[in-house]
Amino acid sequence: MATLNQIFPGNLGRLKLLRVVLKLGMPELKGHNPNQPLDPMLERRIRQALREVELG
Amino acid sequence: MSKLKGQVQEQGFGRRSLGGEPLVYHCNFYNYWLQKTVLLVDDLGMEEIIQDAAAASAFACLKGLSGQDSAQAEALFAYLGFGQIDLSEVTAAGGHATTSVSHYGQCLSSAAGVPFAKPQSRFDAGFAAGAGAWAHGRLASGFGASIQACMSVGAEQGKVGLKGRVQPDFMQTYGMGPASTDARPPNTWAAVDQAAVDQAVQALHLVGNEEGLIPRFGVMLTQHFAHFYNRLSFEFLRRMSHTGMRMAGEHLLIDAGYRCAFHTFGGIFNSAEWEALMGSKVASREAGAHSMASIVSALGWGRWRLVEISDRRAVLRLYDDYESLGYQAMYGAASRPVAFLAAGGLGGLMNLLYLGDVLDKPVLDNDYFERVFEHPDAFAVHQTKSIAMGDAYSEIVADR
Repeated sequence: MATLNQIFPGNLGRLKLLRVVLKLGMPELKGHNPNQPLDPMLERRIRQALREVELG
Repeated sequence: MSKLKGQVQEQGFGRRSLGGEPLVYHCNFYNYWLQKTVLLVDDLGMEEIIQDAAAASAFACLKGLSGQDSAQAEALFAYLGFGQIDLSEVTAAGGHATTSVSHYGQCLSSAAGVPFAKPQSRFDAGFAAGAGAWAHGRLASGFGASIQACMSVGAEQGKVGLKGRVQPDFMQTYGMGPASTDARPPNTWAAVDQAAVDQAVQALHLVGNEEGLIPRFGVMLTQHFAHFYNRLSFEFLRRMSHTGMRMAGEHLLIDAGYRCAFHTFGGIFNSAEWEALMGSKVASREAGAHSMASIVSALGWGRWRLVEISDRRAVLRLYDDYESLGYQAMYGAASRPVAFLAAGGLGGLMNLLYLGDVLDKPVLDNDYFERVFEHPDAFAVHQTKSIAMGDAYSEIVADR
């Protein structure tokens, strides 16, 4: 189980997180504790959205 | 390729217009990141906004120029740096347009750095619709457009299908919009005075080359419609206002401006033109910041004046910035500042100078971008005044 900080490291990571927030329509992600392990189902959704926003 | 009939008018305060429509210079990085941002949320309907904003802008600009024919529209597309478009197969009933060269189809890939999943040429589709409508005596909304092929996803040329449609309510451009106020930009330190900078930038003749592109300063430039950018940015935020994600959207619009500044300003700092105009007169980062502000002021973005600048903090005042004027014209008074491009621009400028040592002419590659962007002591930007909120000028503070 990964944390938001592990999936989205650094300043560039924080911007990618914002893109994922918009992609998933989940503003509540911004308030999520960045060091708390994610629920596996949520982590899968986040990683899938991240793959999509990393495409051109 | 026909020659465009008509020319850009200088409107004071660095504002530029063609056919009564304000123009601003922007690069492929901004065009890519802005479009990517506004398309992040699937159900906002922003694809349609992109195409309609392009159609409305092209139609209004052509209407303001002389000549109601396809050749003029094709010449406009090339002159502005969008590439080469062929409208000969468009009739009053519809048809198709093709692009053999396309800024949106071919030049965004270097900004993205990864393959595209979807066509990027929505602007071309909108332009074809607006230009075709103007050339064949239809209303601005007279054609619906669909992308049938796009070079961004591997096609040999772009193809846009056009079909006649009736859509009585269609977006309007705002022309040059309101003049801001009587406020005059203050005189700040300048390596070269603003009039000379304006003249030097005009002398560069930054218009489409024989391919209809503007490769300059290491980026691909466009002379673009201010209305187009403003409609995308502000309609995106308006449609986000009830989602709880508007602030995230604002951050990403600022990021698009940051990337624009980083690559375009970085390219200008590294250019022979910079050396010729500013080089020997710029002996410090502060002088570099003032000098870049005066160059930016010749790009149609409004006048930039740094009234405070140090290695920890900068205060930028904007006179007639195109974002604030455009917001006012389209939506009336704003409740929050709206100069997102400029805010990102200031952040990019300060980080280039104070963290990236850009005056030493580093290689502007992705490693450099990431090193500067990830710096723990990077500048943050805050908008503190806005013409769109009734202030005499817009103001942005960068600090760390």
